[in-house]
Amino acid sequence: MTINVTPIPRLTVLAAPAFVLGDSNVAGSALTAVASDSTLGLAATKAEMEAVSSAAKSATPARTQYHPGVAKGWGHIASDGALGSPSYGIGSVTYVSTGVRTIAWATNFSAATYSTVVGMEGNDTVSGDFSNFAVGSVTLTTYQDGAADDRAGSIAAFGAQ
Amino acid sequence: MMAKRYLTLATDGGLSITEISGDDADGSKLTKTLFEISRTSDSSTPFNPAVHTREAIAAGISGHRALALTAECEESDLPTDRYFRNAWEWVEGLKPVNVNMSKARDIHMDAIRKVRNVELIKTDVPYLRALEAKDTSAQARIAAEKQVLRDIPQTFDLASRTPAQLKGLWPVELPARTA
Repeated sequence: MTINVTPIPRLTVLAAPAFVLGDSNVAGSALTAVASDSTLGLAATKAEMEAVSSAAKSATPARTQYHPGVAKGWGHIASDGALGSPSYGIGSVTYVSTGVRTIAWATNFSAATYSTVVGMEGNDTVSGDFSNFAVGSVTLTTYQDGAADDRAGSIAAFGAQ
Repeated sequence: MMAKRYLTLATDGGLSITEISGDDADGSKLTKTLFEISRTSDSSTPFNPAVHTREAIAAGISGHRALALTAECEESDLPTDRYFRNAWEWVEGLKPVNVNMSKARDIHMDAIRKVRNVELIKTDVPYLRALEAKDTSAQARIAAEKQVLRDIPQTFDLASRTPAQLKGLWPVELPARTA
């Protein structure tokens, strides 16, 4: 009887980090793929998401919100001022007076200069605009024929938080 | 579950009504909202729960007006008709949200004036034509119609006991309301 024995390589404990994947891998070289000190496969930080420069880091669900192209808040506000469901990034809506609502963001913006958009429901006599921009809130006023009036619309906000 | 609403006073003395998005078990969203809607000249200070407590907001923070929560109510406590929205007020002991009838009369008269002004403008061209044609009879008739329209704010009686009664009052000289 013949017994074939195949040696099994012994596992060794490597100094930390055990290995990291390389993003500057030389094609076909397994060595450089694992020997580089790059951070391929790691999640981008908040600052890296906001910088929009890394082609190697990953955007995780928890940090995607920091990308400048992602809305920091959105929602539908009914004519009676009620916030529709679902919404995102909105802490509260205050119905101040006819046509006037203050939207408090769940997370403050880094500065009071950020972009908002509104899409109003109705015909071309209906409009809406924003004022009183603050890091944590903004005022939406909706109009019918130029006069403040309770109208429904959807809003979104973009900027660094 | 009933939808909770939080009442505060606006800068003009009117009633502001806040709806919190999602759960607010510790009340932090409401506190942040009070901080935000109390802003006057300050747009850059971020809400800091350790500093901006309800007591501090009620006492007045630099760049903010002093603001405290007036009351809490359910969504169902609010009037369903928002025609007199800017006349809503909180009066302790009355139903949760009351309509201030004096303010409501002003709102209704503004609505009447808006329609009246359109009707007044409509008489301008016929009056000019009557002038060109030297039709003194038509001039006098149109002038009388214009005067009736002008007098509506002084002559039309808005005495009423309830918001619904007030809303139902409308001058016969004007076209019926569409809204």
